[in-house]
Amino acid sequence: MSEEKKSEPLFSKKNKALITNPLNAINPVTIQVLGICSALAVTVQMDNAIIMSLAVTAVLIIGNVLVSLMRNIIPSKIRIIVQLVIVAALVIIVDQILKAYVYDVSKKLSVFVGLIITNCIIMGRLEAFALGNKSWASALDGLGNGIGYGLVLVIVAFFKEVFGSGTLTIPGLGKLTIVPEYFYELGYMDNGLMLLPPSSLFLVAIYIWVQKARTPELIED
Amino acid sequence: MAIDRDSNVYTIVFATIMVIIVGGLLAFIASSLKPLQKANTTNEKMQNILQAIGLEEMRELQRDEAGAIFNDYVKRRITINYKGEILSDKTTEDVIDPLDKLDAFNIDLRKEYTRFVKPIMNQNKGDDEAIKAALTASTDIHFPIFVCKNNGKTIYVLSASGKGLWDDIWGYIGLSSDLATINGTVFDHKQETAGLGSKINEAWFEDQFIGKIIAENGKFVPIEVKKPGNDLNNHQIDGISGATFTGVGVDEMLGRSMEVYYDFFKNNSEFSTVSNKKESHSSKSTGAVRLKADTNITMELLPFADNFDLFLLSYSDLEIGDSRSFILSGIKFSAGSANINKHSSTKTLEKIVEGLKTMVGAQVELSGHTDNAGEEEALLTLSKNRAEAVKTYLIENGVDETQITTEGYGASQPLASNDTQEGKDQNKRTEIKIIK
Repeated sequence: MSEEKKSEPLFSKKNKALITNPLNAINPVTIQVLGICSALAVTVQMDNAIIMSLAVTAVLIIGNVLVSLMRNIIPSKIRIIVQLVIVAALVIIVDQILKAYVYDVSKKLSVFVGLIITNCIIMGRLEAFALGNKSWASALDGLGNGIGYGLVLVIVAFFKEVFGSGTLTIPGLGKLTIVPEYFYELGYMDNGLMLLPPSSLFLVAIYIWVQKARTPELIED
Repeated sequence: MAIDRDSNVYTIVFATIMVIIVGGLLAFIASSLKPLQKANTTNEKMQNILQAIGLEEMRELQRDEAGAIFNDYVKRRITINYKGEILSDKTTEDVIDPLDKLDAFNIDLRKEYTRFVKPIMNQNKGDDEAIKAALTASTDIHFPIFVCKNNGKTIYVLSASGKGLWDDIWGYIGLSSDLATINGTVFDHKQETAGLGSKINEAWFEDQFIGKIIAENGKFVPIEVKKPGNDLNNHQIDGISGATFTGVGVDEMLGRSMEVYYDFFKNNSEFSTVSNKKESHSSKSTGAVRLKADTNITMELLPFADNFDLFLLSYSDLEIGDSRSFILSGIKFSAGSANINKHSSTKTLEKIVEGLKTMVGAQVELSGHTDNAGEEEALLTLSKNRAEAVKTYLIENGVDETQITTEGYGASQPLASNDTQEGKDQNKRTEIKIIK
C-alpha cells in the first residue's frame, strides 16, 4: 500500500477532494457542526472574520502536519493531551507574533485568538484525520477545512455587517459604507439584532438550508 | 518497533520531553518578541495621550510616529494620589524610565483599577459613602497628569479607568486650562461587545465630549452618559444604543477620577491661579469665545448641533448690533427638495425654538446654501425655499414671525471645494445668524 502512495501525484484526485470536500459536502461548520462558537462571535465585522479564518487555517495546517509527523510516536494513552499541547503552543505563538508585528489586529481579535485552542475543528481534524494520514494529505485537509470554515464565517459576517452596521470592513480598504445615507434619511434603520451573536444562528441556519437545497445528497432521512 | 508505545515508561518519557521542548520554544519566542511588543504598547499609549489633547492634526496620528513627537507636546508628567499629593513630577528632561513606577507615563490604568479600586468597590458594595471614604484613604491609587503645551495653550491630559460590560475600559481626557472644558478624549476597551460597546473608541463617541463642561459655579459636575435620543445639556453626552452597561462604566469612571483631578487643580494654586486669571481677564472671554479658541475652530461659523449652549451664550455675549452665525448641521432635507427630513432634524429644530424663546429681541436670518450641482437659478430657489421651510417650522412652533428673515445663497458661499463629495456635503447647509 505504501508503494502505491509514493507514486501518487501531489494533487491527485483524492488529494484535491481533501480541499474541495470541506467547502461543501463536509463543511466543518454547516455539516460537521464544528467551530460554531467562533462563527457566532467573530462575525460582526468582515475584517475580524477574515483574519480569524486565516489564523485558524494557519494553526490547522501546522497542527495537522505536526501531529501527522508524530503520529507513529505519540503514545495512544495521552494522544489527546499531546494534541492539546501542540495546538496550545501554536496558538500562543500566533498570538505573540500578532502582538509583535500586527498589533492592531491582535487588539481586535483579543481573546478570540486564545479561543482557537478550543475551536472544535482543530482538535476534531487532528484526531480524525492527522493521526491516521501522511503529512501532505494532512496539510491539504487542514487547508480545506480552514477554507471551509472561513467561507461560512465570511458569508455570515457579510450579512451581519451590511444589515447590522450598513458598512463592510475589509482589511486594507478600511470601512466601506454600503447602505447610502439617503436610505437613512428615508427612515431606514440598521438592524441591531444583527450585531448580537444570536443572529449568526439564523444566518448559519439559512446557509444550511440553501446549501442542502442546492445539494440534495446532503439531506439526511 | 522495539519500543512498546503503550508502556507507562514510554508515555512518561515522551510527555517529559515534549513539555521541555514546547516550554523552551515558547519561552524563547516570548522573550525574543518582547521588545517589539513593548514598543507597540508604549507607542500606543503615547498616541492615545497625544490624541486626547484634541488637536485636529493629531487625528490621523499613526502609532509609530507618536514616540518621536511625544516630548514636543507633553512637557510635564505629574503623578498624584487620591488626596491630591504630588508623588512624582517630571519634565521632558527626565527620560521615561520603565522601572520608575511612579512616573506618570508608567502608571498602568487597568492595573490601577483592577488591583486597587475594584476590591474597595466590591467590599463596600452599595454603600457609596463607604466606597468614597475607603478610596480617599487609599494611598495605592495613582492618577497621572500630562501637562501638554501647544501654541501657548495648556491642556491637561488626565485619565480614567473602570469596568464596562465584560472587562476593563479606560480613557484619556484632555482638559483645557480653564479646568472645565473638555478638549478631546480617547477611550479604549479590552473586550466590549463588538459593534455595540466596542464603539466607545470610535470618533463619533469620543468627539461628543469636546466642549462639554465638568464644572459649574466653581463646583465639579460629572459628565453623564445618557440614553441616546434625549435632550442634552453641556454636562451630558449620548450613550451607545444597545450598550447601556458600557455607558454606565464610562459614566462611573469619569465621575470618580475627574473629581479627584478637579479638586487637585482647584486646591493647587499653581494651576488654579492661572485659570482664575484667565477667567477674570475680561468679560469678553467667557464661554463662547474661549471655547472657540481652545477647540481650534478658526471658522467664524460654528456647528450648532453640538454647541447649543454656545448658541445661548453667544447671544448674551453679543454687543447690540453684532451678529454671529451657526451652521445648523442637524437639519436635513430630502434630496433636491425643500422638505425637511423630520426624523433627523426635529431635535435641532426644537432646540432652536427653545433657544430663540430665551433671546428676547433677537433678529435671526436663516439662510440656505447648496453645492454647485445644478443650474444657478434653481439652486438659489432651492436654498431660499429651504430657509423658508425652516422659518415655517419655527413660526408653527411659536417663534414670532417678525423676528425671522430668510435668504437663499445657492452655491455662492461654499465652505469647501465642490470637487469632493465631502466638500459638497459641507457646502449643503442651513445657517442661522443671530443679530442682537
